[in-house]
Amino acid sequence: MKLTIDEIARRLELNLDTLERWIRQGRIPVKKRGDEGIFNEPELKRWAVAQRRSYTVSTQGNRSEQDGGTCMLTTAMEQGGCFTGVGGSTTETVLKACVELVPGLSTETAQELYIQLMAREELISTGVGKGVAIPHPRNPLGQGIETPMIITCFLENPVDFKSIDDLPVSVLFLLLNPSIEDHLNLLSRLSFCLREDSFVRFLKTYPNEEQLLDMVKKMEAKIESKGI
Amino acid sequence: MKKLISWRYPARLPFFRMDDRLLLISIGVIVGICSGLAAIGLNRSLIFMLEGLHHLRHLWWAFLLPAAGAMASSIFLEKIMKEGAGHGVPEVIYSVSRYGGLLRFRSSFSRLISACLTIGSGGSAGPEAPVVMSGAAIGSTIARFFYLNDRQRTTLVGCGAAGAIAGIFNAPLTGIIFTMEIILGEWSMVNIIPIAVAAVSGAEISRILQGNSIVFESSGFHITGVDLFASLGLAVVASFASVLLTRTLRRMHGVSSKVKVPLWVRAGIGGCAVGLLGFVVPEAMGEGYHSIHAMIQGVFKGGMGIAAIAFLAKILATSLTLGWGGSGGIFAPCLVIGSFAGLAYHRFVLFAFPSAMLVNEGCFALLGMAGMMSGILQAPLTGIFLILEITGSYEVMLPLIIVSAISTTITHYFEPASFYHKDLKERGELLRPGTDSRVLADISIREVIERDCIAVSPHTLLREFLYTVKRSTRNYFPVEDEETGRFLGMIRLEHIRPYLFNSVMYDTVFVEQIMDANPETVRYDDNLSEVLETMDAKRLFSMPVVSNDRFVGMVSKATLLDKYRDELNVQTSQAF
Repeated sequence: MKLTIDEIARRLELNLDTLERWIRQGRIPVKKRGDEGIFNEPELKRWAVAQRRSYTVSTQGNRSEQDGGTCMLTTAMEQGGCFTGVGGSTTETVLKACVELVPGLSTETAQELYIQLMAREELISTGVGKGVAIPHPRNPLGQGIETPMIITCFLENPVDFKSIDDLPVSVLFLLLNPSIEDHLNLLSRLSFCLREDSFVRFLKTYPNEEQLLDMVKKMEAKIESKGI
Repeated sequence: MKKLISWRYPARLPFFRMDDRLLLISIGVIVGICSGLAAIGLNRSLIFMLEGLHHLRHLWWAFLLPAAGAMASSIFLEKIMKEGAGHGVPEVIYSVSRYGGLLRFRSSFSRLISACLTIGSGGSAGPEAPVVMSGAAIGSTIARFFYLNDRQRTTLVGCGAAGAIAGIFNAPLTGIIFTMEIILGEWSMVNIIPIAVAAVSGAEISRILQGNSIVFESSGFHITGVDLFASLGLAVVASFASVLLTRTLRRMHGVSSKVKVPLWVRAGIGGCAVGLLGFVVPEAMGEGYHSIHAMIQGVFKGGMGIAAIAFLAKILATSLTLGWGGSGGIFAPCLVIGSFAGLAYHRFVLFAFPSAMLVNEGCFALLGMAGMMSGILQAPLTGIFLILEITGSYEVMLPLIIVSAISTTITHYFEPASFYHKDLKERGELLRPGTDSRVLADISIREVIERDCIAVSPHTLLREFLYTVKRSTRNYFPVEDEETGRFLGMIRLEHIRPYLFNSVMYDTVFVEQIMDANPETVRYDDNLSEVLETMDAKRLFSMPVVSNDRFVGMVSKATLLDKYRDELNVQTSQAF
């Protein structure tokens, strides 16, 4: 099998200089010809196992770049969707209504999600003030969530959420993530938006999904330009 | 055309690419034969020179002969070949540990010629080390010819050394063990087999051309318990002799380097002195195998006093020859000195206890040789097998082991490094595979550098700097001049942590004011072991790498541990 030296170094997660030295010293079953390395794949894999290295033909490199990349918040909101007129008069009923709006959940997962959401609310309210709450499960859900998503719910009636500023909540952002990393990233971006008064005022106008996404996109561009 | 190229790239053939053992064995045969031939060539030309100069020996100006020989050899090495004097074995060991056994082609004959001039004219030195050097250079040259990699080349260098020793002594086992113990310092299956094959072919070529003869034929000895007991004392004498020889050689080097004359004149002075000494004690001249023969056969005439004087004279002659710039090895003189020591000891014991039932003196001469070899080389196995093979007397095995082991131990107490490794060890360049110094020597700064640091300008406000901190994954920030890109200093998060939470300082403090302007830095070509020493001394975990006044990256202990383990794994694992 023939690959460039760079590619072999990437697959073995090795420094290029180290790889070239090992080839020169004959410590790795690869022969060099020009800038190409000739090797036998099973042989190299066996060697990698013996050296406690990983040999991966990975495309994972691209995925990790996408995470935390541009327009993450917008993408997540698009995934989750935006709903108006969600009913309910207490935290429990509102959350129950929200869980039903989450796309692609089995009844069991939905039940578990609800329990987790309530568990989180019991710790301390997710009402962050200015009439907005960001409910999320206490632990990332094991299954059912493959991509990060935010479900935006505009409530029919403002509900007392025991927020930090005691204002009744009228907008909910239900935050669902496969991993803690995504969760922190999204939460940080969302809270940046909510710090801007103009954004909160905009929310009070009950915008439709298109308007909301446009606005979020603008805010997110601002975040990225600041390099946060 | 393609066929023509591919035979010079045997390592690229699919058959050999993954498992090169067969390739190494077949090239090892070639190397062994070539170095065996080199050994025989030197042997023959030494005999030729000795015979040619024999009728001049009794003339009054014969003492000038060693001088002329030493001068010629020094001029040849220094002016024509442009190589340093000495026997060459440390050079081989150094190149094996540092450059994967890379040796110059000219080394494969230069030492042969210079050693031939020195020894043939009467200088006291041995032909073995020069042959080892040329065998190793032949191995290296052949490996280069076939475009082999460092590991394979190292094995072939070992093959060359083994073939040379095997050829000159007709002793294949000694060749293998000498190479493993002294030259390579590593016993691995991948190496042993090609080296064994090379040793066999080196010995075989010498048998074909010179006949299958044992170098110092000895008659059967009958060892008793008394002899074993007596050999304990001999071991002490032999180790005393090895320490004496090592120290005298060294002292002689010191004295000769103080004399401010050209190297070849210096060699001439040493040669003259050896020649004059030769008038008094003729046994001290040349390689001295003649006298060993006589001693082992038990026909050496002189009494205890003569033997002791010859013993001292040989040490002096060897140091005069080698210390003043002659060319040759220490092997043969060691054997001669050892046998004189054994003989003198035997006569002394008989003189002190006339009723002792000792085996004949030949056996003690033989044991003395073993003790001396093991002491000087710090290699007991080489001593044992060498004596066993060149005398062909297996029945002395027990006292042989005792003398070798004790002599090695006692000598080690006074001279911790062997004669061949001493200089390298003092320079810190004895790098055996799988040791800490070797691992660190192999990894270069370039390989452990981390380039994910974000540079800041000195005029950045602390507030702006905080955004950089947010973006970065590292705790270290180089400060670079905005215009020239010159490296000005480092900011370490751990130093400025208290200020980060003080919002008053955000707009009043510049990066310039909080940076460490004089950090310890590393250059590209620094030695990793030195870098680690600095880190330990200053309690640092990472240091910036600066090249041409520019920041290039960081070297940190954490990454180094990663690379260190990889390297250790790769170096110590058997080849794939």
